[in-house]
Amino acid sequence: MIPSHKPRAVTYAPRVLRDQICIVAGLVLISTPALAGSGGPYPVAADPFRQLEELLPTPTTTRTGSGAPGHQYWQQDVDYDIEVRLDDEKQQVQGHERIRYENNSPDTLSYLWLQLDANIYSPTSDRAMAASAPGFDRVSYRSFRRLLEGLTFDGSVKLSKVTDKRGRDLDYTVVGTMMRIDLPKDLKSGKSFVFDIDWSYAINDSSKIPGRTGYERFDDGTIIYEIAQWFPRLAAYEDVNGWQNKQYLGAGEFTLEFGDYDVEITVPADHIVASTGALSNPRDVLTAKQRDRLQEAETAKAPVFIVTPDEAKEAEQGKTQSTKTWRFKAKNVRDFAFASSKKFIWDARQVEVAGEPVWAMSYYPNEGEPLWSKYSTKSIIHTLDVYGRYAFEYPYPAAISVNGPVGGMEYPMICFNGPRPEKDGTYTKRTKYGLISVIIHEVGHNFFPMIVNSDERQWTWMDEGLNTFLQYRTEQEWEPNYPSRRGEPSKITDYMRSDNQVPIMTNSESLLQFGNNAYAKTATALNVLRETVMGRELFDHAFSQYATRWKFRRPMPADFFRTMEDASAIDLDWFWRGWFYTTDHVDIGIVGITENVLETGDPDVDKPKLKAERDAEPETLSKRGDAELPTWADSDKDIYDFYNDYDELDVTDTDRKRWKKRRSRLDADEAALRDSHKRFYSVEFENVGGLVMPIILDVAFENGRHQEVRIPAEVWRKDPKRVRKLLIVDDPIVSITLDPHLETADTDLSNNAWPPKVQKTRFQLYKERKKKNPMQEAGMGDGPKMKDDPGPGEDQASEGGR
Amino acid sequence: MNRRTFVSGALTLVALPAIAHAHPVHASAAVADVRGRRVEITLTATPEDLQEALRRASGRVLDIDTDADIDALAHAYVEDRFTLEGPQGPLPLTWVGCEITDETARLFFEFKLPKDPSGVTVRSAVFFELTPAHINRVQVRRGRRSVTHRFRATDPAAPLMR
Repeated sequence: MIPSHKPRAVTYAPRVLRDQICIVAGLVLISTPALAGSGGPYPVAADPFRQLEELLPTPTTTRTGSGAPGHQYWQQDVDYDIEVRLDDEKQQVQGHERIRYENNSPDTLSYLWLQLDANIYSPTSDRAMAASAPGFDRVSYRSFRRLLEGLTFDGSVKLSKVTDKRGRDLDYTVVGTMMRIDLPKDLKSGKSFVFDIDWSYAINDSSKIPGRTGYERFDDGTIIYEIAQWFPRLAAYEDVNGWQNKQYLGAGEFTLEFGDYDVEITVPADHIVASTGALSNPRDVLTAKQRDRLQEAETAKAPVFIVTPDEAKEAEQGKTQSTKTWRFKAKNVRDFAFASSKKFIWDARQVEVAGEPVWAMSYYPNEGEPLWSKYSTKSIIHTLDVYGRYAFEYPYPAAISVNGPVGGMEYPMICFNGPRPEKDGTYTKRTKYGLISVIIHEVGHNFFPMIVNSDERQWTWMDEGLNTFLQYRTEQEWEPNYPSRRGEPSKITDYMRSDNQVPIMTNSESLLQFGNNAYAKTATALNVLRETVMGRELFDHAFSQYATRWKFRRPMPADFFRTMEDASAIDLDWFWRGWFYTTDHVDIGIVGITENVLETGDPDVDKPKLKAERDAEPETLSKRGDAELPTWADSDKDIYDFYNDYDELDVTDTDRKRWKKRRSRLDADEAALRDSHKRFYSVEFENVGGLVMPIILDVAFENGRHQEVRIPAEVWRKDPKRVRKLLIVDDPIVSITLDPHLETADTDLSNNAWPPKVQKTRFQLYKERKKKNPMQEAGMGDGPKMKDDPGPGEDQASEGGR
Repeated sequence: MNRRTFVSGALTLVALPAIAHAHPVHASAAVADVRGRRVEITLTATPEDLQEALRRASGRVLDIDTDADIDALAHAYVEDRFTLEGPQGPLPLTWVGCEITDETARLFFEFKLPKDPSGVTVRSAVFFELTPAHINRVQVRRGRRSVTHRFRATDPAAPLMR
């Protein structure tokens, strides 16, 4: 029997024991600590809160401990003057470039590294040689063609001249996709070196050799060219790693130096060219009508056709031997790309960003209609607006989206996007949103990494992850309930709970499951950081601080991690460690709950309550069996005495006197506490997945009220495996749900509820849904006939073995 | 003694229309719940991958959102490319259905295990024909035990339960 003056405690152990276990707890008012570790000592190496200093590089004068560029931050400048000819007969690029390389580093350089990315299309490239054998059980004609084409097509760079500005040959060595130019004399800090290169290469046919660049030939022989990573480009030389001269193997994209470009592109006269930069000779290449339309588009409220669909169709029919040279200039960009075709429809609208005009423009063939004219340019404008609010205002004069053979790829001011409608002009919902999403994503890359110049050959997540996060935000601001594929924590759980992963902090070429890792997991992590850990205001401030600090500079991972903490005053080392440096996942479960009820001490209140509970206890099997058993007392009532009528839970005058006496000894505060009727629930949580996260609870009370409790991740500091949290409440709790808004990417919801709930698998839920017949439920069936015909349930599922 | 085995295989070539197909995921995820002798499988993929795979397999242009025979095509495709094999040969697949939304395609099917499941292997070769970089994950759950297999085109099979 429970002593009347002691509080009671009830432990619920939902995962182990389904029944309530009554125990006695010596709780004297508010004496239970809010946090009590239960697991004892654990290895320091397993401490998820240990500081990141052991992993992050030591701050320097170029990169501070706050995550900002240091007072001696430097980066190289590289300017290019390029003349390029697009050979529409042979599908080749021939170019000449003059490069001015300015050594802003404190170091003396004896050689320069350049990237020859087209060398990836050599049959003997590292990528080709390192490719593993394909499966051969079933091969499509396209795959087979690609396989054979890859053995014969040579799209590598042919260098015909490498000289200094006076025409003297320079020594150079080609190493795969890299070229080293040995300088005639050391290039000292603050000095510049000017040199010239002539080159050519064959453009890849994207239907056979897909990539980030290439051409697409249509049935009538017309072609769209998307030309990128096409000229010898200076590799980055930076303060952390020196030369970024890792080979281009296909997955890791690139980082380059900022500079000014003056590019003359010679193409067939009937082509329309879309390009990085601003067109500087419109009178030479555009018709008067096109120029007038551009003027109209400067103030238009909707995109204006500069080349209409009919005009593009007409151009497709023609054939010309003459050429035109389009000249584009671009300032402070880290790369340069263009597209060219006579198939292009061109629409444009000028918008104002930070008081400056920006052209939002789209180029696409009639095969892209009606989808492209409806959504492309609007998607560009929307992206500039939303990214501008989260990062910084778009600083370039143009943002362009082109439809062609490349599925989705970004360059400064211009990006290539693949989705098209069906041949009959219809399109699915998925194609529509796929187009809008890819345009948002690729235009968004102008911010990360084209301006915030992170190194994608080293760290894919630094631009793909951050960009995917902002893509999600931009999609959500496009229309209500936009079907975003990434960003919501619940969408990453399948990936997170699997093993065979690598951390986000893995080199681009070594990533497993590229999309899930660098894009989706990073975007989800940032979304969780914003919504659950930091809050929107703090996160947005810190994120924009990072973007602004590193605009037109080259950040490293530590600069991002440090800035987010520096600008928010929140120690996020545990978050970076868990989400970026490990493959742990989130799985927090409720292990048990102990309910402690403070008794009033008043016998007229407590004893009847206890009596009712005692009387409600179930009758044991033995007692039930013995109920009719004849006993001695049936024939001899004399054996009864005082104790047979005595019930210790009956209230006596002695009880009342004792209570009165004890009560009189309490001061006012103690009496108020005694009368507070508080309830104490000690809830124990287990961290199954290993990733520490805030604990979010929905607490439901007997009176129907709900309360949300948000416990910061620091609750796991004392013990990252198990914690106990005390909830002090006024009313009885009837249920607790962990992560009720699915905001932490918890991978196993079966241990998230008290009392436990049976969590059905997707498989079970689907089967149940499939068994349902809405017509029957609506009473539209024929009764007995439907009953005899059970429909396509489990038993009638088609069997294999065809 | 070293013994080199030459296996001659009939290379099946499949005609298909050229379709733009680009996204960075290149992975499918399957969860296989072992309940007694039944294995219930939910295979999740991007809808674009499924559409492209079914287009290639059927040799015709189709739309997984609207075409009436998608369920049958998906069934045939999965039967061809996702197998459980015991010592006595392939285990029969029972097709349950598929569910396609804007964001994901989920395929549901099950197998019945032999009395002794220790020799059963799982092979997931779905979507390998789309890109050599494709990876298939199969998470096998049996009670509280869980193991994840990762399959590449070069290595598409493993013991079901380790």
